[in-house]
Amino acid sequence: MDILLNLFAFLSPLLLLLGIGIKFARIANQPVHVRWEIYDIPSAKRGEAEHAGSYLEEIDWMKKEPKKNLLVEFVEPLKEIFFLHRVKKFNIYGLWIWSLFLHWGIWLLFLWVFLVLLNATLYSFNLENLIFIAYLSYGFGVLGSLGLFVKRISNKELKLYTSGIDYVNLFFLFLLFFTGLLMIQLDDYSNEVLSYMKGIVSFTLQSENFSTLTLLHFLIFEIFLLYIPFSKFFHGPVKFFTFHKILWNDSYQKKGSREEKKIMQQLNYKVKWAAPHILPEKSWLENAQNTNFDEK
Amino acid sequence: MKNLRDFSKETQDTLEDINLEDLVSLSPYLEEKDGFKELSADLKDKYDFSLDGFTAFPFPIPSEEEKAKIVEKFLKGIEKLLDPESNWTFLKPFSLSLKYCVKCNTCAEACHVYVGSGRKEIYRPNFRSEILRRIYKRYFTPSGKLLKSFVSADIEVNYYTIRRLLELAYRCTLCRRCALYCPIGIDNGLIARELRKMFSQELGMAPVEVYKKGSRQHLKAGSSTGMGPEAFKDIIKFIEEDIHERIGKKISIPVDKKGAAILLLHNGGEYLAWPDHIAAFAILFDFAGINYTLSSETLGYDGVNYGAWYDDVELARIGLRHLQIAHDLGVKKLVIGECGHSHKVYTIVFDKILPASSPLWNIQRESCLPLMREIVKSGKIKFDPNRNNFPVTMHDSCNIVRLMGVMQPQRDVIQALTPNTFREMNPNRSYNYCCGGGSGFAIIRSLNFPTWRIKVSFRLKTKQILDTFSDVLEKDIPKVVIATCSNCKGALRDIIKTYDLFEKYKITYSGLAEFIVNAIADIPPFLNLDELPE
Ligand code: SF4
Ligand code: SF4
Repeated sequence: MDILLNLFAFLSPLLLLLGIGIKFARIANQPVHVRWEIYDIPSAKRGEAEHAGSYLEEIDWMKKEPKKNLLVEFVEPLKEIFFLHRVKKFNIYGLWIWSLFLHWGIWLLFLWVFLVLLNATLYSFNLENLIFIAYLSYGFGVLGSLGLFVKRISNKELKLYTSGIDYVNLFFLFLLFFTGLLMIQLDDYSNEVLSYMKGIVSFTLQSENFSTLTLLHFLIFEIFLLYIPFSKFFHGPVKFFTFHKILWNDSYQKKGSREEKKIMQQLNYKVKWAAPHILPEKSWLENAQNTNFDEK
Repeated sequence: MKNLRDFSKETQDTLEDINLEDLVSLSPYLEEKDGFKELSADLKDKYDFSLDGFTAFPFPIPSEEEKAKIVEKFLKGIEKLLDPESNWTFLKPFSLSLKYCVKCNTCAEACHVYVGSGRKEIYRPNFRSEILRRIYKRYFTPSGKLLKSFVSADIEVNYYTIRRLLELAYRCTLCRRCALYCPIGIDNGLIARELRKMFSQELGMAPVEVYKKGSRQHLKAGSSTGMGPEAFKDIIKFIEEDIHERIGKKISIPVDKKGAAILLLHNGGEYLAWPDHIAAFAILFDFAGINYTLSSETLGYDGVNYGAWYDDVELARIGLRHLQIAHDLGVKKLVIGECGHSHKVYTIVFDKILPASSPLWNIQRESCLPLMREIVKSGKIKFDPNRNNFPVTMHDSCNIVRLMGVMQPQRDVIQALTPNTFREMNPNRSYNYCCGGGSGFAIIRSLNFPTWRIKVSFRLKTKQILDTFSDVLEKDIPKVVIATCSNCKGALRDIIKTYDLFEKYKITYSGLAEFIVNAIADIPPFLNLDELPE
């Protein structure tokens, strides 16, 4: 049993990274899609101007290298990550505050776990001084998950779009934070979490040394890690693609690039669609070159 | 609606009824008495109105056997939307949008159709996506097959589901304003387009006006208006004569001119509906000494590309032909006239449809707006901004501002050519509201779709125009709404006509070129503010 406990605790973060890695690779390896950006694109922002036009506002844009402010492109998402500013600005269902609590609960949980790990491995310090982080994380998490649960079940519009699994996910998050909150009420919580972390890294976890609450909390946390790449929780990491690679990607094609080679290959893909105006089993290029007036 | 599963109910009864009382009010500006016409029993028997009481499709109701085939094809179509070879063009953005929506509904308030309709559930940006998502889950994912409604894989595919979804794909103007609101970067506008595409490319279903009388006619006759090369040349002659009469100067409009630097590609509809617009470009480019040409090749004079709204194959066919024509003429640049979707197709979409080494890719593809700004700022032409001494606002074309980021040149032009009488609509630029005629709506005239378009789709824009001019509504003050897109202009024309805005408030509309030429000091004023164009 303890072997399983060790294995699961050790592997869950690794599997999280592996899962994210595999998902990222899969998405990245999908075909080069046609450009489909949406403005304002943060990297095009110049100075304080409220709106950012594109390089297409200039004559002979193809002869110029567009000026890009990459720093802004990576600072902009922070507004969403830490403040959920679109939800605040546009959501009319009052989800923002609860969602903000929940997200901060998660960010602080990762910070807390990282601090415990640091303490257990490289740099030892008095964890008790930082307990407020755990309180904030678990408190925010409990409030956020409960608030969202109530919102989703009580608002008839949101309810229409919420399924069983969404409630289970929220309940699962509630359990994660609630068990954490109970765990830090234990007299010896700081020793427990430290020895748990030490146990993970040295592969010497023994369940008998821990209270049920600590075991339960860490187990839920590990399941949470594993669950991220395979569930809706992946909506966070996926923003790298939806924003940076799609909606904010205004880079035009470059001669001789890998992208160009891929486009050439893709033009030779067979068009398998079946409507009368399509030439079946011909490539995209052949279809584009032939207007097919003899449709059935 | 109590449950999204109602979407599949096997009945001709409408899923949602649209009533005048529910729509966003246009008072105090307008008093609307007309509700919606009751459908005749004959029409109801013949066609399907089961989404919202409206339809854009004069398709007869199929037999049971045909219905079963449609279901089969529909499911194959979804499979192909997710197949890298069949849908390389949009697979990535589509599959991410399909899979990672968190159903927060932050996108809802972005949508002019949803808000304008009085927030009818079926028009919520995420509604149509969620229906497709649930179908996908139910039929294509192991968890959906196993856990069904627990993971919301609960929409059953039958003929009615498909028929309603087809209709619903044409209740979104693909303006993509909702994508700007979404915290995850989900693109409900794209999902609507992918649905349209699947219907067209797999089931051969698309509105008559965009397919048969649209891109098919464009490819066959040379223009979606049906105008052939000879008719085009005749119109050019007529426009040249008209220019001579109006400004007292002969201007020859270059057609098929070898050695021209630019091929100017107008929206073909302009030649027939607004020849003044073509004339204005001719005057402007002539006065500025621009070395350009038009083309009389089949397709070369009509820059629309309806494929942008519903079909990747037709999009590629038309686009390739346009670029080939530009290449054969030996021009360096293809300059897109005042047509929003054409702007997006050639500058954005075609960037990654052809390899960058291809000679066709290397024809520079540019918007006409920066060139117009350059002409105005160059000092080559003497302008009198006082010619445009009336309140003027601008309707932004979604394709030009939100989808390609061209926002400032048109503003610089208007500001330079008015004595401080320009006022912005609110919201504007990338946050603008669609005119309501986008993605083909302006030209779809089948059955009772036009009523829906005018009452629902045009609604927020109508209100926005009236709000913008609310302090100068007096009848003796002419007011102009400028649009840099032919489709938008069509929508503005219909709005102004339907609601009598010209008679009541003297609100009219214009393209940017006409507005610029109106300010050329050396010729008589070009705009006639006492009459509505066309
Ligand atoms: S599309 Fe975006 S904003 Fe709309 S419900 Fe989904 S995640 Fe929320
Ligand atoms: S793309 Fe525009 S019309 Fe379509 S759902 Fe989004 S906001 Fe509404």
